[in-house]
Amino acid sequence: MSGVDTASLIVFALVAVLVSVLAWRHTRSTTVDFFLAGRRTGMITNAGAICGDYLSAASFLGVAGAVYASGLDGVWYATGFAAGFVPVLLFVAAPLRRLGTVSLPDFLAVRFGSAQVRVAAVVAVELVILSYLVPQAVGSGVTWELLVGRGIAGLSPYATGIVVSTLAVGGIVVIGGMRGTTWNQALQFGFLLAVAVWLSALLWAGGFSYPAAVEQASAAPLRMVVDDRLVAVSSQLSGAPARFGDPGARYSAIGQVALLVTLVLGTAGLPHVMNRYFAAATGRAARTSTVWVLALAGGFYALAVMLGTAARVLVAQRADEPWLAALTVDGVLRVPEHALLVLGRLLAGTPGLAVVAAAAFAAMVSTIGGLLLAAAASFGHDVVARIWRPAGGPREAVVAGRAAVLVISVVAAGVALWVDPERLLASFPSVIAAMVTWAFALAGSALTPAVLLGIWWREATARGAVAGIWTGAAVAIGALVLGLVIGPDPSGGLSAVLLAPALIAAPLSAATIVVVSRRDTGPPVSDRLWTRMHGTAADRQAERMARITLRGRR
Amino acid sequence: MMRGVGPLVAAITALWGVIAVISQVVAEPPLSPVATMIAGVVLTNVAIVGYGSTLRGPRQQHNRAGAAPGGDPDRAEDQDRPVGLTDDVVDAAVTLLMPLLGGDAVSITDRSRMLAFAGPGHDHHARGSALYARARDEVLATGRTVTVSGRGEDVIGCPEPGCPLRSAAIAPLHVGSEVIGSVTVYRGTHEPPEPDLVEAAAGILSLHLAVAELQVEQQRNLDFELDALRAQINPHFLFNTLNTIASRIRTDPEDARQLLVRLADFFRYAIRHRGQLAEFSQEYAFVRTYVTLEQARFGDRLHVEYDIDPAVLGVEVPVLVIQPLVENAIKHGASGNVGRTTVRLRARVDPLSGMLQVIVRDDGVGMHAATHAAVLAGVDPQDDGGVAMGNIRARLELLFGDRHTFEVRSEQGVGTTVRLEVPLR
Repeated sequence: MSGVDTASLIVFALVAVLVSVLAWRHTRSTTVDFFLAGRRTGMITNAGAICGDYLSAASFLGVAGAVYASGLDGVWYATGFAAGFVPVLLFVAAPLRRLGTVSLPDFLAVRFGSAQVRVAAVVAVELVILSYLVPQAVGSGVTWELLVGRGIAGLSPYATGIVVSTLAVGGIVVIGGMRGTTWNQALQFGFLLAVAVWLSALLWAGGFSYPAAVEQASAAPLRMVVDDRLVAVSSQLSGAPARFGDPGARYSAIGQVALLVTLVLGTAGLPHVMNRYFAAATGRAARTSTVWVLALAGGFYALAVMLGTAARVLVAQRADEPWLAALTVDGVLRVPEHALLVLGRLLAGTPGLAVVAAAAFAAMVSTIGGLLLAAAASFGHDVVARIWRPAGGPREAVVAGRAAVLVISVVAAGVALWVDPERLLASFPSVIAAMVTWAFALAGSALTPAVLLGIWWREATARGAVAGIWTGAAVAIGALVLGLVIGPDPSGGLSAVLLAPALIAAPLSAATIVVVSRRDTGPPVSDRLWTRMHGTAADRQAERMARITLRGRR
Repeated sequence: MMRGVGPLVAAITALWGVIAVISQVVAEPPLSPVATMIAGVVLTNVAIVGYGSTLRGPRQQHNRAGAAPGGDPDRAEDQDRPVGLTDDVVDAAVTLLMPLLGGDAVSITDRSRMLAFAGPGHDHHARGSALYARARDEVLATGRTVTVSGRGEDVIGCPEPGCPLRSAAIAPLHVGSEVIGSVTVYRGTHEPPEPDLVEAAAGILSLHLAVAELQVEQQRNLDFELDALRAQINPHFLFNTLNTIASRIRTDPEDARQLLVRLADFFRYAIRHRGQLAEFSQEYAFVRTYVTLEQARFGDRLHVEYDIDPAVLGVEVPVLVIQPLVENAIKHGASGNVGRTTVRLRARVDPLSGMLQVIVRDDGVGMHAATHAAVLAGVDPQDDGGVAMGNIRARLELLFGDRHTFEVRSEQGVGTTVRLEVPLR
């Protein structure tokens, strides 16, 4: 490790600590005022917290891994993850906040005035959370494998990583230590972004050029490791050998559309991200925060794409280093998810690896924590406290929520143990990103249509919403199972759509809602509720109160 | 919100079609993409702006026209209706009672009109129709159950010639000692229904009405408690603030003006706010206003720290709970303390339990053991702050039952901590 790298690492650590301390001291006492007044500081903090919940192992390791493995087709993940906030910005953020509920199932239940909608939404939410947890656990396994490289108590390193992270986060949530406050989440995102910027700065300082790297990576046909051998990837578009900078390495034309639609629709149905919207001061603040989310997440994903590309070039150049040779076959990584971690070590030695691994664990811990809390809240609060045993009181809801956390994290860990990334590698070159797509598909198929139609179509009724949620969830799950069973087919069209099923399932779900609502004679949404959701008077009142508060500050 | 957007979408689509045809097909040579885009964007903007302003006019008229005739009669009709006898309830009640009471038809009335009717003859005994049976006047006057038999003026009294009803048993509905309506069971034969059965059913309905009345009473109690708190917003606080302002008027008129404006804000919120719940952000703004006024008086001796997770901003909390807690903390801390005092307000959402947690902590003198015990027991001690505590406790009890926590911990010389947990709706 050169002296420059050490110096930069120390500077990075100092700046990170300083910023954290300053932010901690400053934000605790005053930022809530900025939130209230709709000031920029408040917006950015809130946006950072949303990003902190949103950016997970999938974003940090997965996007770079997908770009590493599939080139341009991996970039679609970055595009889709960032673009998912566009529908949220345009159609969801402000009305969601204005209705003033506390969670996604709660929102749907209040909008449709029905306990059945609540139950359906909770089931969908738990399914989304479960399928989102699995790739996070896989990510922690992969990181542990590379950082520690040793297993505990006879487990493989990969299994150890999963067990440790599940026990740690699940335990913390169950004991009740983790609250996922806005400050923590925002700081955690700041750390991730800082790591990405730091790696990029090191790259640029070393004379890296993105266009040149793309050209260099595209010079030879794209290859991947299957069973310890290098296999040329053939393009799904033309059948010719695929290249890094050209589309088709992973998806056919319809597959690319399906993936993008799935990712864009999915975000609006992610429970742990949408829950954060209820924290904005006003509906307008929720919308403005989303603009910042787009900017921050867009910047982060742009860097992630660049880092993935850099890994492709640098790993090939330095594959003869002994530690790297063990992870590669002829200059290509066995597990693409290692790309960012390896890049960290290439750029800044072992400390670099440690920093990237710390960021990856931070991303996973905060996202897993957010997911588990959302799971606990929606089960304990929405189902037990409101439907099963309303007389039970909050204590019973907490117990039920903790039980839900335990069950769901054990199930997720079990699935992650069963899914060994090296085994799935042949069909899914970037397994974390691919698995996250399934969670997005479920969310986008089951929840997003109900949320969008509930907000923008007055005649949508409770029966319609229930039917839509069940239809979306059933079609999405059916398509995913079918897609996994038939595996990647040579033409690539069918299985690609089946594995990113929101393209079919979301329109079906929306159509179900429309048809059932049209035939339903139930009462339409009340004027009062509709005005609360879409009216801006309450926003203006809140902003006026905030101005009054701030006027007196000296 | 989306109403009327369809034509606009169609118009813009058509507009772009026309632009495409003119610029690319008709024009020779075809226009450049830039020119086409500029023309298209300008025309689209014109369409959107023009359409929006034409849309706004008629829509407002529509709303006003719709509101006037629909709204008022309903309210007039509902005013003298007994609590608990909503349309849904009476409809459900007559449908349920029909098979139980051994009659052909069942009706529920208030003192002057038909509220619900099920069975043959419902076409002319519809909701809101007049009451015909003379015997019912007797029931309403005396509160006794009466049976009648036979058509004609004196008995059922229905003017409709085709009415199939021949006999009836009429029982009164009570709330307390007052008769507020009747339950009637009709038969198509001349043998009237069993009066005891009808009376028993009417008794059960009366019980339901009493419960409904009780709930309204409870709501009223809540409102009274809140009004009581509003009325007693500490006069000392008002005098002290006015004195502070008076002393500043010469030395710092601008500052004094600011303080007066804030005092007005304070009372506007405290007195005008309607309803039992408000968003935390509003209550927080109210606390801030209050603290500014107190800080003007105490100066550097009072330091207030806020540690608030923005996630709590949208949560609904009972009104006028947090400010009295802060007021108590300041009173315990700053008034008794010669040195500098710190009050901490901390608010968090616990997503696991679905509770909002508010902690108010001061480092003041703390409470005497006796006062503390009295506060814990809910008894109002002499101290002004204690009155607010009792009031808060009562309102929390009425609003949330046992779904809340309200703890006061105090140690003499160390300070007082109040911990409040309320459910997120």
